Amino acid sequence: MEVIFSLLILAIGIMGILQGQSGATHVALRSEAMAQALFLAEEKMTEIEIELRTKTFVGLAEEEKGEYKEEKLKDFKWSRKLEKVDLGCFIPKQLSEGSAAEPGQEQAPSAAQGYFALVEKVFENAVRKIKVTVEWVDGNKTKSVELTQLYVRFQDLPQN
Amino acid sequence: MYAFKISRRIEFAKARGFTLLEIIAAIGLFAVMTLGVVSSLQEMNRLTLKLKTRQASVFSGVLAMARLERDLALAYNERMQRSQSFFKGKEVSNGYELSFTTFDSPVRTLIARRSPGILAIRYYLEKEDDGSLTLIRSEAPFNNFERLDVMKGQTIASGILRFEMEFYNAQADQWTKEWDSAAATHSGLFPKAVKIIIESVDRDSPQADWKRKSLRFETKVLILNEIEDR
Repeated sequence: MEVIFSLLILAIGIMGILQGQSGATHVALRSEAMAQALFLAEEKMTEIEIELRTKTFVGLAEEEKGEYKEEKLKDFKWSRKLEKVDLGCFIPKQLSEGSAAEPGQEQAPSAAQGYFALVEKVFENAVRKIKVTVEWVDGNKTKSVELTQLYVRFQDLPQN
Repeated sequence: MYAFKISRRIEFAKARGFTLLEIIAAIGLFAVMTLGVVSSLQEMNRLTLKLKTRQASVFSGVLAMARLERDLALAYNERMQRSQSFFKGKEVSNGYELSFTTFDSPVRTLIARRSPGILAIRYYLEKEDDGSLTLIRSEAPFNNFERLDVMKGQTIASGILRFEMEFYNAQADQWTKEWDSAAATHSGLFPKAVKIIIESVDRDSPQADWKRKSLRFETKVLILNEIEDR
């Protein structure tokens, strides 16, 4: 009985070590898809930047998805997302909250508040957060690489 | 005497070895375990071999892409009359050949003071005996770029099966296969972006599997220093 138990423990131990090593090998093999996906995400980001030379943020779809037709890249899918950026944090706190109004009186917006609200609106129209995701299926799991950048379209800012 | 005999029999019974059943079970378990270990080792060997093959092509491709990206992103167009800055990309028999002026490493420029800050770089391919291509990079100081074609290059990546490029013409909003900044059509301009395609494979793997096993890397790089005419 003792022999059987000791053999069992040995077997479990060896299998564990082998499984661990084979797992590590699998992870290393997966890194190739990750390297490919990273370059593809960079490619997509560059394409958006090129598009934004001539198009405004309004002219671009907020969300877009696609696949690669190339035989060697057909396992990959891409998606891109343009998100508005909340620039409220750049407005001085006392201005965004306003000074405390007298009880029973409605608070009138100050000139500074109006100015910052306008600036915020102008800047928000010229700034977007661009997210590019490249996905691929690895076994029964979906893996992905995501690139994010804040893009300022200077053409949309007032000249003076 | 009788009592002594009984006690000896009990001692004998206690000191006996394993039963046949126990030995069969132990041998059976050992056999199963050995089979499992052997099959796992075989699988691991197969994976390690595959890994070695794949990693060589991944490494080759990634290295070539990273180097090209870095040089292209900093491609430098002087945009002055009689400027010596240039950008040429053309298809040759082996694939693509690319040469352009770019900023040198800031460390080499500022600390070692061995470079005027701008380099002329040439990427070209050499065909190996097995049919694969080796990507080579050579560089020359900007003020001596005539030597670029005779400079001995440094191997960037081997086992390349495909090396292609496309150049983005911002004025015409189109991608072209070739670029020459000296040509009248481009009038001194560099492309706004470059598309790079590299397919690499491990040269040690069987040649018949190259097409199937090769890895494709593609990306597009913005040339940051190229000023756009608005």
